[in-house]
Amino acid sequence: MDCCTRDMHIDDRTLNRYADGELPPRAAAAVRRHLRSCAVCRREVQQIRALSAALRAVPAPRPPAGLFEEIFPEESDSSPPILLPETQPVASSRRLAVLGGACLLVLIAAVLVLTLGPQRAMAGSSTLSFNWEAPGALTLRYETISLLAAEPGLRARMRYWVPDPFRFAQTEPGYRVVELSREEPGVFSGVIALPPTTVYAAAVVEDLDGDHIDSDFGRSWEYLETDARGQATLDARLYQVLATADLSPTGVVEVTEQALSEYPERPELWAALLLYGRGALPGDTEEIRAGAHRERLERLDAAARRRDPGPGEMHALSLYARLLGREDIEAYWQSALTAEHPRHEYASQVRLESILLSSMSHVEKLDALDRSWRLARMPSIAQVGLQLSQEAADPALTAVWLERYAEDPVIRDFRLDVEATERMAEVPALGAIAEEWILQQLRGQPDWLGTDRPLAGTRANFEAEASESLARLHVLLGRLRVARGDRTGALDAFERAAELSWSPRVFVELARFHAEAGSSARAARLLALAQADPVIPLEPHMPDGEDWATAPTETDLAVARAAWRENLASSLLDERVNGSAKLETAAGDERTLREVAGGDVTLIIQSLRPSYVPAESLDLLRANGRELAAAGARALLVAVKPDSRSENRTAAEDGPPAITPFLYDRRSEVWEALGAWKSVQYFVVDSAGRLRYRGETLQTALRITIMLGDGPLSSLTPSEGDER
Amino acid sequence: MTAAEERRLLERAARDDREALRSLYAAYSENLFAVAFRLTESSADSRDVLHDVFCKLPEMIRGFDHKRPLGPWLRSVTAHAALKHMRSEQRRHDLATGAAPDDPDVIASPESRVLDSIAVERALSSLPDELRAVVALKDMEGYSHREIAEFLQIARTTSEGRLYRARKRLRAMLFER
Repeated sequence: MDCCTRDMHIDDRTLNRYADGELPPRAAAAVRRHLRSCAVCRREVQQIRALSAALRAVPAPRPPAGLFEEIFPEESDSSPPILLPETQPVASSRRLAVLGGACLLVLIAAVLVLTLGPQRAMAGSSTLSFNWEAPGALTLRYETISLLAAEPGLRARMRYWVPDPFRFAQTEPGYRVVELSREEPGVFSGVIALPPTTVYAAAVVEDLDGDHIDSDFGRSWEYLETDARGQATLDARLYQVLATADLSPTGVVEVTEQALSEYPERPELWAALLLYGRGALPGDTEEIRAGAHRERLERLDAAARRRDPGPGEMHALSLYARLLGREDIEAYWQSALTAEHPRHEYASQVRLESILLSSMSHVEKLDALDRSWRLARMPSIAQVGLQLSQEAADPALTAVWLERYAEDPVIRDFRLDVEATERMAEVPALGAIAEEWILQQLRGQPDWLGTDRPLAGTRANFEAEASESLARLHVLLGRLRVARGDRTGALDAFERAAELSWSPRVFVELARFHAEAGSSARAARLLALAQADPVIPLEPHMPDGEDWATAPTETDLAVARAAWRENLASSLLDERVNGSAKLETAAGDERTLREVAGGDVTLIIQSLRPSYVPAESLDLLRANGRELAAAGARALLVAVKPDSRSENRTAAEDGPPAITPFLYDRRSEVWEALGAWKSVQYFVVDSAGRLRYRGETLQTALRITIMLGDGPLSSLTPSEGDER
Repeated sequence: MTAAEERRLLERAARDDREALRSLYAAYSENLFAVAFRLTESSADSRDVLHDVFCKLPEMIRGFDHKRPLGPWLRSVTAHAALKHMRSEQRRHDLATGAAPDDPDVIASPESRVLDSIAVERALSSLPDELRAVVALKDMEGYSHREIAEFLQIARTTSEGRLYRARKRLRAMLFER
């Protein structure tokens, strides 16, 4: 079929593949034909090519002088004692050490403020105070004069960590979230429950997107367990170091030094200081430090060999030794650790690291991983095992590792699961396993949000995303079933995908299926549905000049447009909006929302700042500028305040006339009027000034805007909630 | 260097012969530093990466299939090391401060289609790691999506999607004011 009709453009993916010379000849010829008559797509291709050429021309700096000597020092060169033996250079040691601790560090965020005395922390523009209401229950009060956080519509949550001694903050369930209630603008409060075993907890205040609310990134609160003398316990200090490490090398040095003043003989802390503080200590030359560190290492090593250290200390000794290039000591404590505590997480890490870094073959690595798994069922081993077995395209191994991966929901999330599924579905030999796994996922419909994240807004976002992911799984399932000749099952899967996601992508998949089954009339009706989408052009989903398609008739298209209208109408809101809410132009002129909307159907993109609007959204808006104008609708870009730097996101100025330049909602009146609660959200207000859509999908908002502009949606009936 | 000379050089390097390693370093370090720099965007990180690669080189050469061309293999080893380095760094982007990647200075005027390297570099460095890695590997290093997918352990389609997203952002920064 022809690659375009009037006002339609070739999708980005195809244009990119064309510019890269990756399209098959027939498809490339079709694109060339289109380019002859379409200046917009021609410009796109020119830009892609100019960009690629410019990227190739970017010069790279040369390696620094003396690097070779640093890597391979002369035998006789005895001057820099910190230099490590050739097989264990400083840089790689550090990196390995970081990797070694990586699974402990993955999701730990900012911790800078420590207040143990007066229970009140202050940083920049905000204060956070807390009181023990009862043992284990803390009340928090967060007050801010930060303009961003003080916005009336903003909701806030507190994320905090209660370390699990075995799997500290390794994954999302490592922390908990509590939504704070808003007492008045800029004042939030909430209660968090700390289990009696808590040794350390830290909190950051963030909006519901997970962005830190204050501009000072390190805003936080933390709790440390104390002993009878009121001194923080060693465990609490160790967790504090780990948590701080993620944010600030300067901060972590300070925290580690504080801990060392209390626990001067702990290798964990010395290793941390060396790991995070290299070069950061004032007045300390590498040489002196290395000398002092090496002496200390030998002393701590000798002392530890005379007693029976625990796995944590053994691991720390091996890490400290590695950082100082003492392979002998490192190897001693690693083998002691794996021999005496083979099932401990640290031992497991040591084994995983050595397997991954080894030059073993794929099969040998999988064997070694299997042995390690049998000793300790660590999720990270299962994840690596699954990837390696998928790469090896080995069905039996993949099945085994998939089961192990599935066993532990801790490191999994929907995205990881769908990605793993896609990898499997791409390998013919793994088709059967992929299919079974998809069915398992669809049956289980796991609630990845879990009870720790009871936030209604987050849940709604998640559900929208989950529905797209489920549609992806159904499409994959359909393809797998086609491949093994189960056409009935495939049809079922594709149809479910279409139920979950009204998108040209899914309709085309279903149309192709019917065309191949000889049902060309049905295929044409489905293609009509894809084509009738007012927002997403058909081309991206009809690649390579596919010749199975019969062009839909005018009747097909009319029916499809009606179906779209009905589908959209079923989800419409009908709420009153305060049209008197005021907005300001960049020049400071005030206008009401009603005036700006001018009685047209209006799509409003509301964001905290212009730069928060994703580029993809602005692109989609621009691409639909003409359709908006043709429908007599308009798009309004509203930001609570300008970007902190000079603004360069001016989609509007060079965009089609239906899109206005950013207007400002400095008092958040429009934010409140629309019921916004997120940093970027989309709304549609109809010509009578009623709110018809509030959500996070610009595609849906655009479809509704364009269709409402074209005329009332037939099956529209006022819905139950007239007022919010 | 003939194939036989290269082979002899590699055999010596595999035995930790310092002079052989120096010859390899002289021949390839500049090129490999560029690979690392394009991925990590940092001289200090690239230095670490090169450090790592050359330290392990004697051992890796022992497992090297001499039928393969040396240059592309070294580049791929370096790219792997750089990606690993990036992962371990766990970089974070400060969303809260609105530290927008877009810097007005990097924006070329719409009339000028000639993109200057500094603007491109700065636009490139504003991309999140996952997008920049794909652009660097595809547009700057010339790897295929299949190879990139292997490097990054992602699906080929994911690699394609990331490339297009990255290019779109770069184009928005460089061409659209």
